[in-house]
Amino acid sequence: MKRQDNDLVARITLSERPDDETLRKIVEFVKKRGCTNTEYSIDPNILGGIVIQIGDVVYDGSLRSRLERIRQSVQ
Amino acid sequence: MIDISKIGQNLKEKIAKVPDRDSERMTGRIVYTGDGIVRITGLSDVKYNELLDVKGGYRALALNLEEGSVGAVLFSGEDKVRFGDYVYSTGKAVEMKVGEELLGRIVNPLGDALDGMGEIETSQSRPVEFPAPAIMDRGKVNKPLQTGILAIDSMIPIGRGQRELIIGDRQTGKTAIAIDTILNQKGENVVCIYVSIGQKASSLSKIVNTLRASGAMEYTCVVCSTADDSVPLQYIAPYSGCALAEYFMYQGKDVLIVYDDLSKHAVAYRTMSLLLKRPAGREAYPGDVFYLHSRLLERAAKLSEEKGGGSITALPIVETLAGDISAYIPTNVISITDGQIYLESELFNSGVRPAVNVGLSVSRVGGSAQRKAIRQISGQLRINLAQYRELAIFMQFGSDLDSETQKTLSRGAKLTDVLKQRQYLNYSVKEMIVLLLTVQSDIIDRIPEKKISEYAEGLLDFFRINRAELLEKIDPDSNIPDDIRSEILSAAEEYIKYTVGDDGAEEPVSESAEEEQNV
Repeated sequence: MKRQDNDLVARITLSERPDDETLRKIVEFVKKRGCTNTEYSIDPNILGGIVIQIGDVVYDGSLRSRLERIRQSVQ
Repeated sequence: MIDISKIGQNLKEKIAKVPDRDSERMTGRIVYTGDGIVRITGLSDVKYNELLDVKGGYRALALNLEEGSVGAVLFSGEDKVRFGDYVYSTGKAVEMKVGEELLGRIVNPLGDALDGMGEIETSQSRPVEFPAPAIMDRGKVNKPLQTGILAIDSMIPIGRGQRELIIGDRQTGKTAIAIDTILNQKGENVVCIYVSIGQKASSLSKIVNTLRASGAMEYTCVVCSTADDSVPLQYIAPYSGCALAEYFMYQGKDVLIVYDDLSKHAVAYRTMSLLLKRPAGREAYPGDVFYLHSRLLERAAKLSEEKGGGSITALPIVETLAGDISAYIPTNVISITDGQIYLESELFNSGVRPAVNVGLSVSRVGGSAQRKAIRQISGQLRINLAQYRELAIFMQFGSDLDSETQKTLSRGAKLTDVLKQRQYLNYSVKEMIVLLLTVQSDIIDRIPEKKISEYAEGLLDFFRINRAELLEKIDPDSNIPDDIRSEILSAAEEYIKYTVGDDGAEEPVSESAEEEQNV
């Protein structure tokens, strides 16, 4: 399915306010994937790291999902 | 003893293997959940039959791809997933673990152990859905698969690579035939797979105990989904079993797979289809219920020599209601398979066990795979039995009978008795030859009707102990030479006097033959 324009908002979730260097890297990462609009939110629930969602694609680098994966692998 | 340091080591290794972060993943979110069905928005690149990862480690199968949403069925965690949960696509189809390691084990349809004997470590897995062998890859069915059941091996022979349906009402011994066949594969170099679909856990445990007790688990894997397993697990169970069977077949081995039973499989699929809101057809089954079974049974095949010559022999089981073989699922499966063994409750209740209805049972390809000697001596069997049954119906009117008719009748009754066989008591090919030769000769007229079962069983013991060298001499793969035939018959004649007495006259026998069959 062709992605629609309104999908191309990058939703970025962080556990805390990013510093300027991190912010620069995020914008670069998002631009490389053809996305100019960004939407930031702070969610302490992800514990740490970052989650970026562009359309249906999620780049999940959060500490929470990493712990979750560890939990599943030792179950 | 549990070694704690080893467990710690194991855990460390496992955690080290977990990737730091996910690469990009397609996601969707659950917008509906209920009855084990989830509806998902997003997931724009998902494929049909793709395995999905639901948040929390649950797995689902994408079955309905629609504009705007994806319908999927959950393998587990029906009560745990929630509205709004993330769902990730995996890009993989459902896979079953395969390998020698699965022999002797009880696994669920995803290859996870259920027998408490530790995790199954295999290096390989196969997709659960897999195309059937192509036309040119197939060979001719030419080797017999001995069930060890006289009635079947003599009149409805099954060849390796054949699909023979076992059909009948409940409590007619369908599973018993399949289990007997598995037990008879000991030392025959056949890998057996028993797939239970929506069975009661109690009957399954009974089956497993039987297989264990007789040492059949060494070459058998039980793929099981019980009645309380989720419907999608029941649905993929036969396909997973088949994936395991294919692993062995493509290695050139012979495999026997039992699907117990496909009527419950169809019901499981109907449940899923109706919940997914697919249109219902006859008996509320969805439109593709024929394809459901045809694509499964097409995967049973005999491969050509160039492809290794392996085979999958499938014994699907279908339960009928009140003997109605013209219901939807029975007719479907009958038309897909290469013949059927029809079991009747009437026969079962009158003590004919296995309750095979010889008239309605056929084997469409097994004849060419039958051992030569058996084919030579069992040719007349069917006809004789048919004649007997025709006369037996006639006899009910109680008219006077001439001696010729009486003889046919008594022979027919005795023949039927010899075909009765206790459960778990399998005959070898050579023993079958001895029995078939004896019951079709004049000797049988000298044994009273009530003593025939006793005679038949005793005769085999007599041969095993006193005529072992004669049994040894029988070659099942060529016609029986006259000298061996007469040797067998004279030995059988000799044994008459041990059971019946010297005169061998047909006298009224007061003691009735012991009830031979197990229920």
